[in-house]
Amino acid sequence: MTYTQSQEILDKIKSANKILVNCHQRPDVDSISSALSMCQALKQLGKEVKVICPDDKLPELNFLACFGEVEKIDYQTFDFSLYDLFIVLDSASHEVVTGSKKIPFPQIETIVIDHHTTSVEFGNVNLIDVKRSATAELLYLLFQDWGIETTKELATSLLTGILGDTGAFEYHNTTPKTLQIAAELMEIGADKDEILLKIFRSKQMNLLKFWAEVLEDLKVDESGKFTWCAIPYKAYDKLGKPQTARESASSLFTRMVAGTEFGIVMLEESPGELRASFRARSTEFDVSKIALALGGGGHAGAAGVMVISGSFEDSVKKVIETARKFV
Amino acid sequence: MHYKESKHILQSIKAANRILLTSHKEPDADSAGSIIALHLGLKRLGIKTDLVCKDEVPKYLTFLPRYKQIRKVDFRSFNFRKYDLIITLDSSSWGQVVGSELKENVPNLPIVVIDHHSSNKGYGKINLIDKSATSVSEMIYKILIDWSVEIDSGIANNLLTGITGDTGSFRFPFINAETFEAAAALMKAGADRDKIIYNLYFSVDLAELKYLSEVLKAATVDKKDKIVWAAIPYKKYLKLGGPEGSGFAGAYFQVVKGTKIGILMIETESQKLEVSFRARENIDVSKISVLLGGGGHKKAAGVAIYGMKFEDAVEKVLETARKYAKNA
Repeated sequence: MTYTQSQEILDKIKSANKILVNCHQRPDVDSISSALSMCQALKQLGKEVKVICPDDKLPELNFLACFGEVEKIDYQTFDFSLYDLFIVLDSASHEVVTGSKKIPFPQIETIVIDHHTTSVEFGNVNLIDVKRSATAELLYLLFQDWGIETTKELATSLLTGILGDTGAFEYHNTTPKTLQIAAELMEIGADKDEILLKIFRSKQMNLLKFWAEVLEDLKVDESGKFTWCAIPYKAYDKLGKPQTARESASSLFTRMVAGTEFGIVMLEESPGELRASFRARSTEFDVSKIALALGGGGHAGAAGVMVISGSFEDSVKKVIETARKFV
Repeated sequence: MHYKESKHILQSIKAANRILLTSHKEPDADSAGSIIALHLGLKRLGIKTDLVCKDEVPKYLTFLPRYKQIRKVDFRSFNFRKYDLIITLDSSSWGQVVGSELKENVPNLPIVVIDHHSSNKGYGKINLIDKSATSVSEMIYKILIDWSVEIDSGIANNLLTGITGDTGSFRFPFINAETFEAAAALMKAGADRDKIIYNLYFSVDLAELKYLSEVLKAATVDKKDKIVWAAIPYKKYLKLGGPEGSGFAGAYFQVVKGTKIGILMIETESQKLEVSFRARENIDVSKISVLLGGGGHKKAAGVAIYGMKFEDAVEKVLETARKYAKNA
């Protein structure tokens, strides 16, 4: 047994009939892959499952089993009373689940399974393992505890989540255990190259043009400790608001520059609303502290702030001044 | 035993008095990492080796433990007679070690060849050529285990750097579970994967990123032929400070949905167009490169075109690629 909570969670699942699983707001690859992996495991256990999400799912993941089961819902109108149990994955706080602080968390028995250091453990049962690179990696260990058969489809879903959250084994979170699990999943039949083609090499051209904008604006801060850039709404809108613009640009470029410790990509995603992504270049720097100070959250290596309201210039200034306090 | 040749190789090493250990010219992460690791592994067995290379270890690899052990030498005047055994790693021919002008001057000494290039014809007395290995560092890892050498952190860091370099940090195709298992074992033995990634990929100058910005701005998709391409003329290249790192820009020409071929063309000198090809899907871009007089691998290939006007050279490359794409 890897986890002491494994049996308790399994018992709750066994005594439930209809189970909900979530993808978090603006779901990333690990969120969707983990939800679909859980969906497959619950079906193996003979359960009726529905996967819900407050936003659109990523279309490039349509090769994963159970993809068709994901439904976009409104947390304010959805009838949770029809379900016995809610399994919340990869979500550090309730607003990440519902999509907004203003939308309350539904009244339902909840199990939280997550790997974020900033998790607030808001479930009836909480399984948090911050050592795992991805929620999908955690699920692999949990499913072993449960005796779930790792089919080729399940192996593919789990490896997709791991590749997503490790940036294909590039980020600090990759451990020897991550590589061992990846090896096992590949031996079962998960096709790493096919997954990489689907999730990392299927970009729209306007995303590359967005990256060009980011790189043009990117500068080393006067403190010398970090790189940053800020893209206003007008430029974003002109490029057709490419999906994953901010996250992809920050993961790719803000960690590259020699001599810096971290990087920030700021993007005004709707007029007057700035979002920021932080990425650490060195393992010694924890960017989640800056994100927390601005009301966001995340990991030591990657964190974000959802909304900073106000004029573009004021919001950018606020982020930079906060960041400088940590260098 | 991973390799049946391991025992024979160790016997030859033990029988020798002075051993020369070398790898290909212009050393990269795999060649430098693998020779240092083999040197350290043999040292643990009480065997001394001299490390030499035609070129200096590049700056981005100077984080490697013991990289200073590699001595840059001039093979035109090098005295091989001091040695009674040569071991070459990651070198598909003798010319790769000493440079093409000296390729015929093979010293009259026993050579042990350890390599993973499919073009290696086996120019040694003992040839261990594992074409399925994704790096020579992974081969050295297996050989050291065959010899029961304990993998210490110095060896582990050198080997994982080689594996990381030659597999694009595990992202290149055809990497199997064995590579992951080797990497996991090396991390447990003390290899600092983050430090390796940091040095190999995240230590660029801001100027190189500005250059990438220009390259991405110039990128165009040719939907009909499924080609994404960009071409930078010499004047613009000069204005950007002529950065070296066009290598990493190539990767962005392999990621556009709906394309099969990526082509990056940079005029790095007047009338010298350096061309990189990338395959996104199952297409062999080395064939296009060969048609233009170049070479390379299925997924990544390159050629330099000399003596043509920029526009004409670009058109020639595109025409050749389009013709190939139509029939592929």
